[in-house]
Amino acid sequence: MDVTTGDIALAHREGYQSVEHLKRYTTLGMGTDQGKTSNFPALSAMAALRGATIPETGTTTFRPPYVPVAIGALAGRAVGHHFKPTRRTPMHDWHIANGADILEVGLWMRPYFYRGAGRDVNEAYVAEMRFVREAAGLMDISTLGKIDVQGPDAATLLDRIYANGFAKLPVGRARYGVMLRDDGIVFDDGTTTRLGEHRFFMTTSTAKAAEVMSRLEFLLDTAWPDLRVAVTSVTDEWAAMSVAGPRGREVLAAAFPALDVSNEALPHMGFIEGEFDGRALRIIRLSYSGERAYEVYVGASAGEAAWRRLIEAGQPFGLEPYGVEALGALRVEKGHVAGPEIDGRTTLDDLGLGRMVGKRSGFVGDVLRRRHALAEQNRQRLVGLTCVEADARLSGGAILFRPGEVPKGHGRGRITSVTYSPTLGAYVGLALLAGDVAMGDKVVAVHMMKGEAVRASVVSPVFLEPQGERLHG
Amino acid sequence: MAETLSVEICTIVQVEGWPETQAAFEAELSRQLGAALPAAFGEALPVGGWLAVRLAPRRFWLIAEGRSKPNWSIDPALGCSVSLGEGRMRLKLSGQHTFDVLGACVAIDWDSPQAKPGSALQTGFHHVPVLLLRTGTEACDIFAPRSFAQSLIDWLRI
Repeated sequence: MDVTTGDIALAHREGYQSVEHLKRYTTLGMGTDQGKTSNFPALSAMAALRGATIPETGTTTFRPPYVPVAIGALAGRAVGHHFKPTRRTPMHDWHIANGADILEVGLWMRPYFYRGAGRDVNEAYVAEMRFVREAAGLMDISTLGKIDVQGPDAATLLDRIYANGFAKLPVGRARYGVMLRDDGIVFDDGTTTRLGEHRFFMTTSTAKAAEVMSRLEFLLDTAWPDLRVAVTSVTDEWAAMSVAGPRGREVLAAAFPALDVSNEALPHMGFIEGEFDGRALRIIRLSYSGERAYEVYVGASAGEAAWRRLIEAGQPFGLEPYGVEALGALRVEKGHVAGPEIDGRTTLDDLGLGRMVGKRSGFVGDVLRRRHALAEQNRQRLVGLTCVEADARLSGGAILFRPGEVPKGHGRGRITSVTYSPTLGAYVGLALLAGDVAMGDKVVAVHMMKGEAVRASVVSPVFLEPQGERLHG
Repeated sequence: MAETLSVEICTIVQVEGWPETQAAFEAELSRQLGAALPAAFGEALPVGGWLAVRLAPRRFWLIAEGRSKPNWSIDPALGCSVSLGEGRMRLKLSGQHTFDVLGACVAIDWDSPQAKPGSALQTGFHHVPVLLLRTGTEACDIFAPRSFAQSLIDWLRI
């Protein structure tokens, strides 16, 4: 502390005798301790100089901590092991025991790929994609944010926080939803399932789980305190796994024979529930990969047992586990947006999602999304890219230029996501590209750091089955 | 290092009343449980075979050892409930150095009246949201999210 009693005496002599003036003159009480510790001796000294008691002299507004706190409690946790605690899914030990290469995703430890599928990630993810496209794959999706939304006004809340409507979602059905920030930029996407008239099960992206939860609580506390809704994070409550692929239904039927998973009982975007090993079990038919797929949720303590059950039941159908790299690649083939595209700068229209909203209004972000600048025709929007040369390879992060343009500056856009598509036998990519570059035009993808320049064609971002035939039936 | 550290499953049911029905919600739940719910934030009281903790003005956790079934029901017009026991691990610490260990991780004054035995405190344990339940002069339970639990256990056992 560099303030002395001499400084307090100087403040007194110069007329700064009010405790608030003393605080601003000396800066005592403005530091980490917020006054209760360091400012008290100063207030005592000023009281003595004024010939008054401390209560007569007054005190500044103290804020926590009110008692001395160990430096270790404040700073000790920000080093070494304390700095970054890890999160493990209920199936973590199985992944380790079965050759998963682990990828840190935020604090989460997620299977990147499985060594059984290939010697390295490039070999493995392509093999894992084939499992999903041709038979069935099993993916640990426990890291998804999960929020229980309950109350007589739950549907009203969802109608306000999602850009697309939820109030009319029937019980037993799920819907994809997109949230906007106040400024009209896309915030996060996910699905919400209606469990009952007044109860919903929301999932968010892994990355935005905490932010979405915090936002819901903030809005309920400040903007809509009258709504009778309770929101609770249940991310850790449920182990979650995705069964995806043309033989996925057979796998589910074998693993959970007591449940009717037929197309009639569990259609696309449908929901059923049951029990596994004495724990609650929820199955929602949703697809991220474009294949017929199911999200299986089970009480976390039974997560590994359910996973083992699915692995065992899936063997006759060719089911294999797949990791984060294959998951990302599968969604690129289908043109589904994720974090690289929902990057805090893109709007619904930029991402091709504007039609979901139609003429709805009254939801968060609705007013500012109508700003002129966000409707300009030349804004970058989501497109697909394919290589002009058959053996060429696109790189994520490459900057896009028109043929003949000098490759300098920000170009016409950038590649956000890339994968090798085993189905198409070529590299494909998603990009955000200026609106005046039309479908069918050519661009040059320049990766400055790699010294690459690859010619590409601008195409639809949906590379496989634009009608989504595999999702149904 | 604490002398003992054990990890146990538990049942946690979160209950919450609606803004305008809070008084009726608490009265009805208290009637079913046969005892008054904690009146103050951070207070933990045994009620009807459960430990009731008031976590927020309208929100309580009802905690039981092992796996238990709720012996009450919530009128949806008054409030709601959600099970949270699958998603939390109960780490039981005891021994003379328990609070030396915790003092290095959480900014709580264990000598204050608010942290006396029987009190419940929500805080961050190196960025992990936890509920601490002081169970004795040298004992404390940590209710940690399941995904973080192993990480915390590893640290506590170092």
